[in-house]
Amino acid sequence: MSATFDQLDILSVDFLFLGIIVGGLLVAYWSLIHLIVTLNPYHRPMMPILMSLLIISIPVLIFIIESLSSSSELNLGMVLELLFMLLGLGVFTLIAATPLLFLFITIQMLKITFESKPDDPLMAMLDD
Amino acid sequence: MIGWGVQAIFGWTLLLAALSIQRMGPAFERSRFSLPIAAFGLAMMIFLPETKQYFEGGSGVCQYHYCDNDIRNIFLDFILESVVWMTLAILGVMLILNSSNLYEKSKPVTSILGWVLVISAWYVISQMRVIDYLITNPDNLIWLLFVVIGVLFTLFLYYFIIRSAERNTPRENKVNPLDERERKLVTEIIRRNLGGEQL
Repeated sequence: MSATFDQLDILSVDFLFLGIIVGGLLVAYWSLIHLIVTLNPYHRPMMPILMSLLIISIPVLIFIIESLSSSSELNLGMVLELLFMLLGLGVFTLIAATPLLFLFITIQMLKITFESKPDDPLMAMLDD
Repeated sequence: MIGWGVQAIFGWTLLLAALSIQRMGPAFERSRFSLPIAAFGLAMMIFLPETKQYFEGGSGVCQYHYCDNDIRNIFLDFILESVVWMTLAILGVMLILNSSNLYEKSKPVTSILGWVLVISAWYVISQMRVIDYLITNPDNLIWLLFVVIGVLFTLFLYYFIIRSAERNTPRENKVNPLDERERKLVTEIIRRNLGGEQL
């Protein structure tokens, strides 16, 4: 992320790298929330939680390294803003991609609507 | 007052938490808290606070390509439209599944109603500004592809981490076999369930 967001060209390496980071961050955040709310005595969540925190910290580390090489001052608010922005981008992308999933479901619904009941010997036994 | 972006992310977090809680426990007894938590999360994503105006200072400034208020309006429209089409889609799919003849007798009226809802959902999708923008700019598909690569790569890492954590879990000692009383109890439960006798 050597360029700021307003300087990013679509299809540039930075932009595509940002896409990979957003995808990873989305999964890591989702996993972290899932592991925390489903915590129970039969779980061993320490390794996945550490993994999630590590992935979430990757963009923060890149941001910190970038700010060290530039003259801009860094504060916690900027780091949180970056995280929220990336996460928001991930959520937006995820929701925007759901029509693709719905397309697949619609095709399945078409099949179900026009498909007749299969001849199942087990079901026939149940009827008998 | 917190910013609308932070509130939306918190709402999303609550939705994820509700989904995870809902999947906990046996199928016949899911958590009763998941639905209110999900509703609260969704409300947090919809009822967003207003942004500060430029003369109030703070977060109302214009940065990147848009002003904060523009992004908020685009996000709000997008979420509202998404909620509408997802609701129509879920209801439509449920009706189509209920009316299919795979499990029971076919119910044509219910099926037609389900298809009306599914087609309505597609109509709402076709009218969404964001979706129109995504379709008319094929570059966005490349962005989506790289997000998917990020998702798959991270899931792959999780697979290895979870597998190693599972392998390092100490094995529990073997349990003793059932005694006579327990064996009778299990046999009776199976016999009643399979035999269909009234308890």
